Amino acid sequence: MRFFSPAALGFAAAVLPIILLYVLKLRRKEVRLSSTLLWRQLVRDFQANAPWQRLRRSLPLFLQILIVVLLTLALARPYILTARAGAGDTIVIVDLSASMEADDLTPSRLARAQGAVEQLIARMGPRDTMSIIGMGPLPRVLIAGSRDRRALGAAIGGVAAVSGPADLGKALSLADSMARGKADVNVILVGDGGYADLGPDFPLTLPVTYVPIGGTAENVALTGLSARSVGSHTVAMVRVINHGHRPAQVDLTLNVDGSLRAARQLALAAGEEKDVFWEDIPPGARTLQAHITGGGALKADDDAFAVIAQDGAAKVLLVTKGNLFLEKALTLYPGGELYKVTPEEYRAQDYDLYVFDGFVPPTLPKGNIICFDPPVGAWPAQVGPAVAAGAVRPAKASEQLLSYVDLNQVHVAKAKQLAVPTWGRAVIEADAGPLLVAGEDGGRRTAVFAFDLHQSDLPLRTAFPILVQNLLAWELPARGGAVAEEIDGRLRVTALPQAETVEVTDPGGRTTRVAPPFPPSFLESPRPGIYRVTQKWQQKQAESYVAVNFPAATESALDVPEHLTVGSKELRGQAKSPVESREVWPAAAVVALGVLSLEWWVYHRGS
Amino acid sequence: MNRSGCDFGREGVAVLSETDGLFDAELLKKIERLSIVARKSLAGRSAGKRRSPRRGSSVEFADYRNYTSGDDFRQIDWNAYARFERLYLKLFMEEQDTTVHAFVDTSRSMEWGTPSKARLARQLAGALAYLGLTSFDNVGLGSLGAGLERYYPPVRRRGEIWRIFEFLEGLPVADETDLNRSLRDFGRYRRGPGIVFVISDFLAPGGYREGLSHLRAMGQEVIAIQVLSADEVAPEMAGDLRLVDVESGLAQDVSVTPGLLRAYRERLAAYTGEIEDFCRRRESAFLQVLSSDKADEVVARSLRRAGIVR
Repeated sequence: MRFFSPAALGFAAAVLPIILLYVLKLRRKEVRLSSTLLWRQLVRDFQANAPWQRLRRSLPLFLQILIVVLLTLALARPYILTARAGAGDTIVIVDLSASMEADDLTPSRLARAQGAVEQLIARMGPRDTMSIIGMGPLPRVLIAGSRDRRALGAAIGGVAAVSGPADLGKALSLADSMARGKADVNVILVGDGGYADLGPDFPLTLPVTYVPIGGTAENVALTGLSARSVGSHTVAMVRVINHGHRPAQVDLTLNVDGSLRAARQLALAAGEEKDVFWEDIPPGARTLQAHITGGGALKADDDAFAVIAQDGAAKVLLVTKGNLFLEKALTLYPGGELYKVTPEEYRAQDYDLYVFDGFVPPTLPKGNIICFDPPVGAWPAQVGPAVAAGAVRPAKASEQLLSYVDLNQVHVAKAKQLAVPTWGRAVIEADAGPLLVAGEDGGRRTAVFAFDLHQSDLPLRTAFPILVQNLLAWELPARGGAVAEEIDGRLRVTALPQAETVEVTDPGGRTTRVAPPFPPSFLESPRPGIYRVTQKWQQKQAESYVAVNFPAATESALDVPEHLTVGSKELRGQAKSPVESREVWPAAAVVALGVLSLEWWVYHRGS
Repeated sequence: MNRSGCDFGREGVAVLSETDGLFDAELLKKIERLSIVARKSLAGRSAGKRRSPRRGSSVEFADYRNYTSGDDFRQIDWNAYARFERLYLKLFMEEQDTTVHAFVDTSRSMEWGTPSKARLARQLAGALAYLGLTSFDNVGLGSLGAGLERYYPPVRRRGEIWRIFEFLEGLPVADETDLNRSLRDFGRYRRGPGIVFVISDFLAPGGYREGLSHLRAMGQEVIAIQVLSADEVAPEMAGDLRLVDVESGLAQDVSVTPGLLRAYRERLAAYTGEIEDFCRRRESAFLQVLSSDKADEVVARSLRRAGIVR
């Protein structure tokens, strides 16, 4: 407790005269009585003849001293520090982004943020509630609307930084939905302010107090390690950025498949970026790791990882007069590079997959083929004129290409008559005949759709992108068929259609089975490093590698802004923890009045 | 008291012409038909109006008993002999006189109150003496101070009443009170049974128990009358006071609060209860009166209700 008027504490000296009055005997009015016999029996006190008497335990004396103490307190205007949010509901958003691991503050920014939230918890009033949101790529409610300080403390004590950036927009939206229907909800944002711009139209309805954690820090980051084949050899490149305000000198090393391959020293001016190339990557290398020593406050961005594509990305050529549905579905495939030409521009080149839409070239190319609505009489299958298709159904219940594909809501108006070739099988059929046939024609995987996508509502169904992905995974087996990628701070694995088990081995060597069940589960908050994805089916297995990198683009710049702009509002940083002083003298005065009444009652009761 | 204003009329009733003194004709007139009742029969030496435990020759039949040699022939019931052929003696109540003493506390504390406690005490003593004389009892008086300071030996003549009044009016105020010693002193003047009225505030520092017990040991029937003033029963004062005892001069500092006044009233009630309990255990009577009470009403109502007079 602190005081606005500490000098008023001197009023406590009024206790001394009170005690003195009790010690000194009173000058009493003399009254003559017939006999004091009964009074003497009744009152056995006041016998001493000395001008003072021993201080006895006296309730009125105690109460009078208490009144003086309380009034002194009230005059000194005591105040306590409380959360600025004051009474009511507080939602605390704690930044858990990767940059919070920076150690420019001791022990880390995250620990400081935890301390700030613990202070807020300690200053909660008995009726106040608090919710805590952990802000990473996806916001998570750590605890909601709790008055239990211990539970709140446990919730904030158990957080850890994630490897991704913080999405302030999603966290504020979550806070907004939590505050809906409540009055006087305050939001306190505790973090280092490294957030993507939310744009001027972001609707910020809640009052937000921004508590910046951190200051200026020196940091050198690695970003964008990549490798590509140029002719017969592989070239690796990495970008080194000095985010600090002073020149930095770092030692850069490159590990290839876990072995040191190259090292060099770099000197970077403040804010300087340098691209570093290595041209002697041995053929057959699978993984790369770049590392800098002396990288500053944030250790996580001192490493960068990359996986060398064995055959380069799968090249897919779409030949169409224009089919937005198909183009979008094909671009969703993570392991391919999509090229598009019109039938007139078509030239057979070295593509891994050709997708023909309403067109079939006179001579089939070497790669695999997916063909939509082939012209009548054209190859690759015997094609007859279009007829009404009728009801659509899977040709076989256990068709792997139809995994997770629901055809119940799919309708096809017209489809060309298609004969099932000897090398293929019907995958989807209708009353009028097969709608999709697939098979391997002399080493060329081929799938033929008998209808124009515009004659069907298939592109409008969720079945369509799944079907296309299944087809692509089947058509491009050389890519390993499985791609894992990091989305929103989670590692997502896309399994091969035939895969029976999918396992992910993290950089620390710990293996996690993510499937079955399918689709594979997410791997939460993956640390930067090389992950190995192993898929097994029957006696076979496919291995692929995924590099998870620190989000250096958003997280490595450690300077903490003094204020944040959210929508049209500017949030000024509170230099200290967001507390305010709340005067409590009225409480002391009320208690003093109560004690005064009690003293009056005690006196008249005659105790 | 003006002796010339008082004489006994044809019926032996004292008539007082003055009304501003302690005693007036009105008081005596109101109580003249009353007499003091002994709780148990008392043996006196001469015939009076009081029943004696001795069987005697009065007209009131008491009992029969077998004749034994030496008995008075005149007391044989010949009717009973005719019926039972055995000799029975017929016994009669013998009415005898007794001695009534009234002791008045004359300490300074009795001067307290408006009217003073002493005034009522002396009026009561006079009234009781008057009742005693009209009942042909011997009546004696005494004043209680540091000892039995004045003693008026028992008299039987009704004509003594005005001298008794004079004695009472002339009693000096004693500087201190010692009830025990005063009542013990009474043993020097008197032996044997009788009735003793002790009229006091019983606020003597030395207590009262020993004195009252001594009277009982003498065979006296004791009637204790406590006279208190209104401000002793319900004092009205407040604040920080020094209470000074008018008798002993002792001072007592108190901070008077409503609670303390309540405690005082409880203490007084307990003290009075102790006296009453003490008397009851010794077959004595106790009566508390206020100094503002009228003497005739105390005698005619309170003493009558208590069975002390009838």
